[in-house]
Amino acid sequence: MDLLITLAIALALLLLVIGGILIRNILRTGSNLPLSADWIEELSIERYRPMLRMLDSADIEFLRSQPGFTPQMGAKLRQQRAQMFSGYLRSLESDFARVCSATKLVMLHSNQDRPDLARTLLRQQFQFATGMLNVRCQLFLYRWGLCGVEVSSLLKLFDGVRLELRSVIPAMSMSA
Amino acid sequence: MPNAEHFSKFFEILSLGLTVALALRLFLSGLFRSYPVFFSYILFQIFEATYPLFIKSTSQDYVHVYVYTHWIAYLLHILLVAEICRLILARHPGIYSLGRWAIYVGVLISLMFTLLTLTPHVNPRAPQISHILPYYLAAGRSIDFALGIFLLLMLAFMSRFPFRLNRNVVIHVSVYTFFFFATWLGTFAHAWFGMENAELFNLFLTIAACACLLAWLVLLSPNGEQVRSAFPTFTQERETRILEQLDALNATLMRTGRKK
Repeated sequence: MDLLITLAIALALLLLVIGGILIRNILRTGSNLPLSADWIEELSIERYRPMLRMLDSADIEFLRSQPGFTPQMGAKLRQQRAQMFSGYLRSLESDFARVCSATKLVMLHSNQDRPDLARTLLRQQFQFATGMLNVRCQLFLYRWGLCGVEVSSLLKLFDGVRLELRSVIPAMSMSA
Repeated sequence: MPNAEHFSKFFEILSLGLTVALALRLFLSGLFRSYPVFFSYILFQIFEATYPLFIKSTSQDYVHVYVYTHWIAYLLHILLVAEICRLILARHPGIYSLGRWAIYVGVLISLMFTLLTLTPHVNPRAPQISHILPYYLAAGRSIDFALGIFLLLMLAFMSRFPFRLNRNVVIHVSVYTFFFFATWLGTFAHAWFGMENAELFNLFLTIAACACLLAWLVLLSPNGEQVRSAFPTFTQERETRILEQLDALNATLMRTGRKK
């Protein structure tokens, strides 16, 4: 069979598969709305508190001052801490996604057009994506001991976010 | 012993029967009021399914009828997609602007894809039945390809929101996507091979059309217009707080990224 026709068939099949996946995602999303009072209760600053000291250079400096310390020990410690920090960042991403879902629900539920919310949502998602990329780059450099990552202000602000969100989302359950 | 021509006739008659049945179903169930463009398209398809039964597909008469009437189908294809977009956005006025921006971006991207597929000049291997037909088919397959890409982009946009679409809309979007890409593939192959395998590709297109008609006939129903929804109520104050939380999360992330 001609190469061109083969490629056309492959392209058509690929696009149909993509369409099927998107339709499946739409059907799943519609049946699993994310908001409920339980989700608000689960959103806690306590799980992020260890991040305050996780990437603190003081620990490594202290170990460096101890006899028997080797650079390999420092590198291993940084790698382990970076892995744990990555896990917390994933959790932060998940919580941000939930707040975005709340915004999207406000828009979907609104009886009036909300271009203001749409602009804010797009801006927030863009800023978060670029900010997360920046942090992950710095985290990568931290693994090699090239720079640090400041997290104390991150947790202070997130604590405020959590308390605010608890007062916002009503105590109701979502039907599936 | 059945041959390709018998298969072709069988599916052409089947296509006509399914089209008439679907038109009757839409009319009797009242769905024609919700989907007027779709109903118009099905009525036009009754005409398009009828004349191949009386005119040989490799004849000049067939080409003339096809060229002079099929542009209506292209126009209806575009209006079908517009109808679906209108139905989705009409149920969700809150995202009307965002949906409009998504449509503009979708149209731009699908047009770019279409131009890319049109740029390489396809030289058919085999003799063509008409000088105008290749250009006509090129325009048609470009429209169908662009509409298929546009639908995929709209699906990607909708997948980012917790939509509660009614079943009929999901069926329409699914079947349209299959229909546009199958039609694109069939007309692409038809243009490439020309007269040589015209019957074969017409058979492919007819079978694809029968599959779509059957899906619509079986799956569309008045009950499919119902949407279950249980959205929470949000006051202005709550909405402001949610936005402040988004700002706070982003500010936190940006500060985290600053070097000490």
